[in-house]
Amino acid sequence: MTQNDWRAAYPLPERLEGRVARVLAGLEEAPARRFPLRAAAAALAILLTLGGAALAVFESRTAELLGRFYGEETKRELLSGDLAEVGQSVRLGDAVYTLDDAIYKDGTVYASGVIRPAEDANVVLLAEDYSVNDPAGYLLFYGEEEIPDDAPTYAELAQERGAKILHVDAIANGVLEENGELNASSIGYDVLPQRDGTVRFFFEFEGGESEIVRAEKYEVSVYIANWEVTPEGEWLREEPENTWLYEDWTVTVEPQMKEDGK
Amino acid sequence: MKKLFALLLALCALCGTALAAEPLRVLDGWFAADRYEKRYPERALERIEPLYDETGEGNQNELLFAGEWDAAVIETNGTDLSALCAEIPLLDLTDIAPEKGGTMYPAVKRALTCEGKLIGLPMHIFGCTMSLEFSDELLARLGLADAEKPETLRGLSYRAKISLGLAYAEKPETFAELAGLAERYMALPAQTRRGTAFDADVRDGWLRYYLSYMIRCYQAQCADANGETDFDTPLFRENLAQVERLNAALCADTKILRGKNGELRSLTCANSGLGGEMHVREGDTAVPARMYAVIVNANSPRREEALDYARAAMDEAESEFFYAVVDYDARLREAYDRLIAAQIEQGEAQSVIDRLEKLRDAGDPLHYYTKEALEAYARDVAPRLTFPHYRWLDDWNAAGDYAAGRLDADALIDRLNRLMEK
Repeated sequence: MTQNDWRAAYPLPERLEGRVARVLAGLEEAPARRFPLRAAAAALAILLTLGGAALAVFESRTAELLGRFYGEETKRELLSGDLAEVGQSVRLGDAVYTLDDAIYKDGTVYASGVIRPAEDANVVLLAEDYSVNDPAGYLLFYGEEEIPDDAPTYAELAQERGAKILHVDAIANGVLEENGELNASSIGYDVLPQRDGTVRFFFEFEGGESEIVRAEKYEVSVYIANWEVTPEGEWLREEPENTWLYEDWTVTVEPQMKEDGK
Repeated sequence: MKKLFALLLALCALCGTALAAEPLRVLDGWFAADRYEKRYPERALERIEPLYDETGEGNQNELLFAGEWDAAVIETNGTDLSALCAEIPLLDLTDIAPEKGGTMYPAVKRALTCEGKLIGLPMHIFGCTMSLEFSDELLARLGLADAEKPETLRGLSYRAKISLGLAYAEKPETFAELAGLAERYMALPAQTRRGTAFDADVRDGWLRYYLSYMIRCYQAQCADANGETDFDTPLFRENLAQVERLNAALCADTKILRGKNGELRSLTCANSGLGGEMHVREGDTAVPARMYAVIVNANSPRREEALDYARAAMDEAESEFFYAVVDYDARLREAYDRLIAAQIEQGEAQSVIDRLEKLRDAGDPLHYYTKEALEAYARDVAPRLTFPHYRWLDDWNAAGDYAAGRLDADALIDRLNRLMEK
């Protein structure tokens, strides 16, 4: 799967469209019985509803992402967990952070989202471990991409647009317990620059002091940050040119708990 | 008389109980305390934790010189052992040293000897600064090998398998030579350089990166006996000029063309090895290192326990770096046994454990060092070891201000010298 696949909206599978077409064809050929248009529309609506239910409740980008890195088996495992559609966003300076969805499975929380420039901001986003001299929007550490020689670097893109370069981060702190303590250990994360100028992120973590038990709701704390970077690669995080913004963003995640209790 | 005797006995018992109840106070490092606790779970231990400020500087020395501890692990770079020895009486540890210290490398022994006593036992060793490794294959492929340069010191990559036949003939040893290599590399056409980088991990901010590195090398190689460094010297200015030259070369073309599937290979890369550092003086072959060593307070009322702590600290000491005579086969087995124990503790798959056991039993040095590598170390590195003591400086921020144009050379030197005075 290429990055275009999981960035684009997920299309209806062909089998559903084919199924609808066959049903409609059957309806047209049925002898001697007239199906009123309303009945046909109702039948189609029922079929579409059934077909929609046959798909996942929503397409978990987290499962897709982790499946891409760790294999289809991992994706299937994750999809059997408690899935939560989140879609919450927060703005910090010139960047907007959105947590798309999360999964709880066997004591581990997984989540993913996207960071994009704020609407009124003229910025070029730079992900962690990437240099201002790297080709903008290409994933460099996975051996997957052919990079054209004329691909502009982040520094070149920023110069072209008269934009600032903004280093962005989104890393899980853990789950906030009722007593206000953070519960997390073994936090893994990654950030993935995208060709469209956004940065995707994902993370996973287990419980630290205690296991993260299955629940209907979690308060997931995420460290979000950004700061300006000069075209020479200097981070502006010290006075008098300190542009470093950061906060711990708490997102309420409410998974749909599967009936099998796993 | 009997009553007096009974009273004395009772007093002794009370004191003994009081002492026994008192924990062993240790300034710990490298998990020596964990090993001590594992060995003596019934004994009380108090770990004295240094505090660190936001720049990373800790109060370890303050705690050491206060003397309120029984045993400690020190680092020779950051702690002036001679000064400590003059302040706090330290126990002679000759009797518990392997071979009573007789086979210890002279440079190591000198660094740990005070007033004729062996007051420290070595545990771990690192280079004072990072070493730079160079890719033989890329040097040759890009036509950058310099066959006329005489072969010099062989370095040892810490915790890495040593490749035999490492030809150091082509490798830069000074910042001037490093800058020369960068110029030669960058003079190659971009298409020739495709898929390579001078350092694939450092793709911007070269001036700050290499200047910070040079400052550390300068300190490690030029600090005086008191740990003081004067930056206002022609030598420092000359090296600064070489770092500027290196930066100018790398800035000439900041666009890095990647190979197939985004591949990028490093002509040079940093590691924490010994002997591969850049020198600020031509012809300098010293290998500045820093050593972690365990010491015991001679004033400790729990001397025997403190010595047990020192023995526990020595459990995982890297004796192959400190002693001229080492039972290679026994050390190889020990190294594998430790690795296997760690893998078992981490719940590693049985197939991995089985494989490690096979390698161990076959005497395969894959997860240790080859005999030849250790011989090279004994011949080329150990005699050149130095253990300078010098103050930690916030060179990264000073280098950053210089790179951003906020400081010129004079202001940089002034700032570094003032940091030394703090």
